Amino acid sequence: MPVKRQIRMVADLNKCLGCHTCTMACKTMWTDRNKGQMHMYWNNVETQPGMGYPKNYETQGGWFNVSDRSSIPIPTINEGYGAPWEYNYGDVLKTDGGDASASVLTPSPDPSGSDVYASNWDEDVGAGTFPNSYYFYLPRICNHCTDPPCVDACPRQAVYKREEDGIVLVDQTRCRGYLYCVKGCPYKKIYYNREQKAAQKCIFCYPRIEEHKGNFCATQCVGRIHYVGYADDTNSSAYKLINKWKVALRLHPEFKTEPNVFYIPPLSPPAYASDGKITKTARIPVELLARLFGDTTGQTLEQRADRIREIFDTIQAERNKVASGGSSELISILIPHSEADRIQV
Amino acid sequence: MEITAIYVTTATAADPEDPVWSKAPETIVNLNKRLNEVGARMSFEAHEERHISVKVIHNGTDIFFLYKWEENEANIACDYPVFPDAFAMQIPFLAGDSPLCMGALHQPVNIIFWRPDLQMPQNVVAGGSGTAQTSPDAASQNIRHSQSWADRVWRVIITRPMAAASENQVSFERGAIYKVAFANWKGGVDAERGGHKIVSDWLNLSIQ
Repeated sequence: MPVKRQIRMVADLNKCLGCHTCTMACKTMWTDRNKGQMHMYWNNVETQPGMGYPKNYETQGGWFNVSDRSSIPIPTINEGYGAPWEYNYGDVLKTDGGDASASVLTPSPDPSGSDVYASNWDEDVGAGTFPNSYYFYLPRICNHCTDPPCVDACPRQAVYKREEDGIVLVDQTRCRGYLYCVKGCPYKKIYYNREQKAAQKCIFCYPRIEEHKGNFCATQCVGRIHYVGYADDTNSSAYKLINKWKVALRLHPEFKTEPNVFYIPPLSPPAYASDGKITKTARIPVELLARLFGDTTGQTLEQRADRIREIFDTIQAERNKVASGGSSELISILIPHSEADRIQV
Repeated sequence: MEITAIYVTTATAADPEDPVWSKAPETIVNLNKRLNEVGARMSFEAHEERHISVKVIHNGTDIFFLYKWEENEANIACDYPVFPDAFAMQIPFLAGDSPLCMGALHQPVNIIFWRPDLQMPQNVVAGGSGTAQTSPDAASQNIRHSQSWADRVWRVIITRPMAAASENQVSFERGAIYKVAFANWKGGVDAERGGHKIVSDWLNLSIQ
């Protein structure tokens, strides 16, 4: 069903410092309510290149696998998302009635073993070899896609896209926990609550949006990397970054869902040559970024790489303007001074 | 094929070993109508048949359904990526046939849905594919059960007062004949759930 308005987010990856404050803000706000939510991070920050969360989600596919949707795997909690273990505080902490002299803190279920995983398991591992090793952080929420595969996958119409702002939600009373949505989402941003026996996902903080406040991940962000605005609001910073300056791209547009979360691809320092001299090549290969980011489904990897170079050139040219005493709308947006500069909802 | 709910004076029949069940005739129901949903893993062949043993008794106040079917292993957990075994019985609210697949808008059906991980079977109402929902009123969620799995057989007894607890339940009246159909889901990894199941045709259920 077409929506009247679509809310969108831009994340400037150049400013993400990988502190997970967005993740913790979301966790404490929404997914700290029962045991069935322990493995869920509606917002997670993963290191790229890396395995992501859940593990290797980028290769698991989604509803765009029209020819064989039955083969799409369903992640497992321990191996895919990471065992949601807890310590035996009650045995150890005197404040909890425990005996510190007799006990040791033991996580349960035991998170060790060959299949161990967690949402940021390979944090800062990245790729490349010294002195040209590299990585960057990729914060991810539900993309609130224009063509949401979770909505298509649900046989009960329990997942729906709100007409007023395009936020994708799960009707908790209609959901019967079939997990077709989990299979359907190629970003694996919809989760199953085993306690409540229903699918749950990022709600784009819709109760806050309805009060014209930004999403909690965006307002708590230390690096102030997020921009939030409606697609038809040409005065919003999000609109200007996506449509006017064209410096924001979608994650995996080849998944054919038209995500409404956009990313400004990360610049990186120049690589060193073998003789120790600085080269003109960025340390994060543009080809690697092109495998992640693009505008549309139909672009080739070469076209995506060209677009990323174009974005880097645009940002550099505008930086040069400011450095030489001039002004730049783009740089003003990228260096916001207040929440109101970033969030127009 | 007709299933007869015989009248007994026993107060209860919550145990499948209760001798009262020997008085009830056993009906073996074939489940051979295969439904499939896009995206589900087809773990069984389309021509597969399953058989459910059905016995029904009532004491004028409560009605007891005893179901037995083979299941090589009991699938109980409902978690990524596994689904539990499940069973359902469906009865039209109105006289005559309703469409077998969850009824239709003006031909609603009443379903009792059992799954081993649920605390109690659910009273469900539906008016067409994709519309099934547990009835929201607390009064209609009054279905008791006992379940056991042994020797590769599930034995499930479902019990309900014969009189409807609300408009979301069918009333069972002595001397009346009802249509009834059954559905079975085989659990396991990415296995049967929702519309992906095997069902019987409509049968008659006669209340003695």
